[in-house]
Amino acid sequence: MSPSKGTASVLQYTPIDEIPKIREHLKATYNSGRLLPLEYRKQQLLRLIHLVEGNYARFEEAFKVDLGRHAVEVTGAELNNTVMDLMYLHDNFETWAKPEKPGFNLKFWAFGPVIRRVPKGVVLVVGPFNGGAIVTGNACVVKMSELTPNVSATLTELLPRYLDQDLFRVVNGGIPETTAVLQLQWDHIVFTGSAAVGRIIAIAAAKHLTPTTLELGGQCPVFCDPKMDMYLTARRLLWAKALNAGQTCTTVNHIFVPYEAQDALVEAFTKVYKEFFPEGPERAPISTLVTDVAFKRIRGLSEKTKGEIVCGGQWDEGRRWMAPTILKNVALDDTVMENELFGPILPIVPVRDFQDAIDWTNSRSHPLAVYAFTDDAKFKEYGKSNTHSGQFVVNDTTLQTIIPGLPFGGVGESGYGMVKGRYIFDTLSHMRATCESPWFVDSMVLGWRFPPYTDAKVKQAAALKPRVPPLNPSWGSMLRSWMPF
Amino acid sequence: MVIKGGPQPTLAYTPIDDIPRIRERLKAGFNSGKLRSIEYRKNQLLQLAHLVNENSKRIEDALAVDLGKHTVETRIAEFNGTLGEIVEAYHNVAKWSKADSAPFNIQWFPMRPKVYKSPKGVVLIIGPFNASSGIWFAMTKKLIVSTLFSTPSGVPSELWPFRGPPSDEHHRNRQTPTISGLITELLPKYMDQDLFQVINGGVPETSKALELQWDHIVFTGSATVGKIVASAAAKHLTPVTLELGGQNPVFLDPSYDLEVAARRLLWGRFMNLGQVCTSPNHIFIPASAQDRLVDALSKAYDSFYPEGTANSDSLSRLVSTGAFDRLQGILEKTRGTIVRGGLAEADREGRFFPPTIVKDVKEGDSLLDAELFGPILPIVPVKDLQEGIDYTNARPHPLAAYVFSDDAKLKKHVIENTHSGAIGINDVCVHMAIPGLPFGGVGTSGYGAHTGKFSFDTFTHHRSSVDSPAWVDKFVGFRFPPYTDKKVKQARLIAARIPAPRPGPGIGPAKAQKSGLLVSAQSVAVALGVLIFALGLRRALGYDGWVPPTLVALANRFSVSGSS
Repeated sequence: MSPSKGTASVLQYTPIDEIPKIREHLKATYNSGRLLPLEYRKQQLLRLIHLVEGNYARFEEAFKVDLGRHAVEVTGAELNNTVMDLMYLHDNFETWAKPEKPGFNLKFWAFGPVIRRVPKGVVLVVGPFNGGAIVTGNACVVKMSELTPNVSATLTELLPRYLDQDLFRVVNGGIPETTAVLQLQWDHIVFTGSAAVGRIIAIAAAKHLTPTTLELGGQCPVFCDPKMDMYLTARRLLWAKALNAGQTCTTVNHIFVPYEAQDALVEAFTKVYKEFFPEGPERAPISTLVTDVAFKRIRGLSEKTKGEIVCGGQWDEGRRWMAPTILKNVALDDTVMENELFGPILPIVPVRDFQDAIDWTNSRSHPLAVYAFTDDAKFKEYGKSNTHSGQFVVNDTTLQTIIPGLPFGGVGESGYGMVKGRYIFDTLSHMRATCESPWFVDSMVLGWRFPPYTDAKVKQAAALKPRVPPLNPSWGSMLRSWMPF
Repeated sequence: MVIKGGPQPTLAYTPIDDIPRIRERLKAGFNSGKLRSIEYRKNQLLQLAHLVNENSKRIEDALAVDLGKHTVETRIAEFNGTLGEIVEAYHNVAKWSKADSAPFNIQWFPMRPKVYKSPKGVVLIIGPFNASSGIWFAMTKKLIVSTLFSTPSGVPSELWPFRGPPSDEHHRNRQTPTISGLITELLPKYMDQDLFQVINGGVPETSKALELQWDHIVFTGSATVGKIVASAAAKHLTPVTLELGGQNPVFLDPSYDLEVAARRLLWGRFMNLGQVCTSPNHIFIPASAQDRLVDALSKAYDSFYPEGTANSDSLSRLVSTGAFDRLQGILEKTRGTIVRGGLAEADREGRFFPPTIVKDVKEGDSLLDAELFGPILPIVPVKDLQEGIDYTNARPHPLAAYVFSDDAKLKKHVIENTHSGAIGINDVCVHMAIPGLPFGGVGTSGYGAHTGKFSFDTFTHHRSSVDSPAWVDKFVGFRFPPYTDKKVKQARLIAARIPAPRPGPGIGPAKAQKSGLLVSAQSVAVALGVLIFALGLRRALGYDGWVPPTLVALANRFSVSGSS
C-alpha cells in the first residue's frame, strides 16, 4: 500500500502578513460577544461534528495518501474518537457552563458566592483541532501540521464550509509561519507535539503571559508480569505498535519482562505476528513513516541496536516504510532506549527484577503513560504507586485516550494541563469568582472591619478565628469539635 | 506611629550554593514517599496551623515593625484567612486525594476508568512577604496547603524588581525582613525539614532558584517579573501559576446607597495603605453624581480617621521609600483635583503616604497609567457606565472588577461585558476571604487558580487509569489486524449518533438525522446487562427453576473472562 505520490500536495501556506490580520479579525468578533449564547456554541459544535462525520471517505483517503494508513485505523482510531469526543462535549457542555455555587458555609452564605466559567478570548491550537474552544466560547486559530499535507489541506478546505469564519480559522505553514503565529498574543495555547518544540512554544507564550497546555510524549514503558497471559499481552501490544507504525504519543515504547519469561513473550509475539500479517508485513496495510528524516532515524536505530530481531526488520526506503520490528535481549543502555522511539520498533528489555526497571524509569523524565500487564492486584498497586506518568493503564494501551470522562495530559517532560471533555472545558475557561454583599453585612457581621480600629474590634476579629484542631486530641477537644460554635 | 514589638529575628540570605542542595534534599524527601500517607500530611498541616496560632503575637509584632500594620488588619488578613485555609485543607485532604471514577458510560464502564490524584513533586513558591505579607506553604507532594498568610496579599509595583527571594517553598520579600526572618526561624521548629524549606534572598538568589528544575512554580508579584518566571519555567517544561495584579475598576451606579459604597470603597482602598492586589484602583461614576460621591467619601474619611490620618494607628506604612517616591511622582503629575489627603502630611522617612482622594480624573491622567498599589483613590467621571466599560475592555484584564448597584440588569450587563479575574458586587476584596471561591487572574492579571480545593488541583497531577479485562476484545476485536473490509464496516458502525445541524448562520450541508445505530447497540448492551444480573441473582438466591437454555449459554459466554 504505497502512498500515491502522484497527487501533489494541495496544501497552501498562509501568507505571513495575513496571520496578524486573522487574529485581529477573530478578536473583534470575539469581543462582539457572538459566542456568548450557548445555543450558538452548540450549533457550531454540531457543524464541526458533521464536518467529520459527513467526510469519512475524504479523511480516509487523505490519511492513506499521507501515511498509507488503512481505513480501519483511520475510522476506528481517529474519526470515531473525534466524533465521540465531540458528542460528549455536545451532550454535556451546557451543564458545565452553568454558574457553580461552592458548598454552603455558615459565615459566608449571605454573600451568595458563585463561580462563572467564562471564555478566555482567542485560543491558538497547534496540532489537532478539538471542540474545546467552541464549547467554552473562545475564538480559535488552528495551526495544522505541515507534515501531513493532505489531511491538513482537507480540513482547511472543509472548515470554512461548516464553521463561522469570523471565529474559527486554520493557519498552515512551516517554521516561518509558526514563528509568526507565536509572536502574537493569544489568550491560551494548546500544543501537541515534541518536548523540544514544546519548550519553544512555552517560552514564546511566557512573553505574553499566555497560559499553555502541552501534550508531549515520552518513553512509555510496559511492565509485564511473568504470570500474565502472554498471548493477550502480545496481541494488544503489537496492535498498539503497528497502529500508525508506532507514531502515536501513547504507544508502547519498550517492554520490561523478567528474564525467565522473555521466551514465552517472544513466542507469543511470533504467533501474533503471523496472525496479524499472514502474508508477511510487506503486504499488510501498515502505515509509512511521516518524513524521510523519521525513516532514516528509525532505520539507523534498527542497525545500531545490539538487540536481536525476533520479528520484522524489513524496510523499504522508497516509501519510507519499515515493518513492525520486535527486538529481544535489549540492554538498558542500548541505542533504542535513549529517546522516545515514535516508530515501529518494539524492544523487549529483560530485567532481573522490576525494581531495576522502576528505578531506571524514575531516573529519566516522566513518560506520558505507564502500562502494566498483570492480573495481580498487588503488582498493579506496586506499579501505580512507584512510578510517575501522565496515565497509568492496566492490560491495554492507548485506549485511555478515547474514553470519555477521563482527562488526558502529561506530567513533567510529557507535558502539563489536561484536555478532553470536562477537563478541556476547564482548561479553556477562566473561573471567575463572584459574590454580592448585601447591605446588612456591615451592621451585623463585618462592621468591625472599618477604621478606626479599637480594642473591641480586635476582639471581634479574633472571635472569627477558625478553630484549629489540637495536635493531641482528648475527649474534651473531640466534644468541643462537634459543637457548632 | 509607634513601632510595637520586642527583639525580632534578622533575615539572613540563603547562600547561593545551598540552593541546589536544598532542592536535592526535598527531591529525596519527596521520593521517600513520606507524604504519601494522608495521616502525615494532616499532621504537617496541623503543625503549620499551630505555628501560626502559637506565634500570633510575634507575627503581629513583626508585621507592625515591617508595615505598621494594625492588629485588626493582621487578624482579618493573616490569621483568619491563613488558618481557615489550613483547617479546610486538614478536614478535606483525605477526600480530595481519593481517586475519581469517570462518569458512567455504558460503552466504557468495563474498563474501570479512574482518575488518580498524584502529587507533582517539588514545588517552588515565590510569594510576597511584602505588603500584606503572604506566606505560601505548598507542601511538596499532593498535600498542598497553600497557606496564605494573608488573604489580601500584596502585588508589587514594577519598581520592585523582585518581590521576594525564593524559598523552595517560599520566597519572601527582602523588603519585609522581619516577618521573613521570623518565618525562617519558626518553620524548622514545626515542619519536616526534608519536605519544606525556606530560601531567602534578593535577585541573585531568586535567579539561582529559577535555574533549577521544579515540578510546579507559583509566583505572586508583578507582570514584568511574572514573564521572567514563566520564561525560566518554560525551559524546564514546568507548569506555572501566576498571581499578578491590575487596575481594578469600580463601576458605581449613582442610584446605589453612596454612603454604604463609600465606606466599603475607602476600607478596601486604604487597607494596608492600598498595597493589596484586589484593592479598587479607580471609580467610574456618571459625572452628575460625582459631587454626591465626594461628599459620601469625605464623610466616611472623617469617620475612619477622626483624629487625622497622620495620628491614626489604623493606617499601615508603605513597604519602602521607593514606593513612596513613585506615588509622590504620580500624584504631583495628576491634573485631577485633590479632595482629601495630599502630600502636606506625607512623611517619606516614616514611609507614610496619606490616604488621598482625587476627583475629575480624565483618561490619560498619570493616576491611570498603571496599577497604583498605594493609598490614592481617583474618581473618573464618565458620561455613562458604558464609557467606563469600554475604557476597561481596551486595556489589560484586571485582577478584579467591582460593580455597585441594586439594578439586576446593570449588574448582569457589567458581569457579561467585562473581563477580570474576579468580579465583586457591592463590595470590594471580600471575595478573597470566601471559602470555595477560586482566586486567580486572567490575561495580564495572571493564570491558574488557588485557595482550597483549587490549590489542591493545581499541585496535583490528574492521572487517568484504565484496567481492561480480557473479554473486551470480543467487542472491539476489529481493532486488530489483518484489516478487512468487514472490519471497516464494523468500525464505521460504532460512530456515535449525531443530531441534525441546527438552523443558524454559517453555511453547512443540511442532513437528515442518522438512524440510531448506537441506540440499538446500547439497548443490546443494557439487555445483556439485565440478563447477567438476573442470572447472578438467580444463583445468589439459589433459585433452581427453569431458564431458557439459550439464555444461559449466552450469559455464560459473555460473563466468562480471561480465556481467549
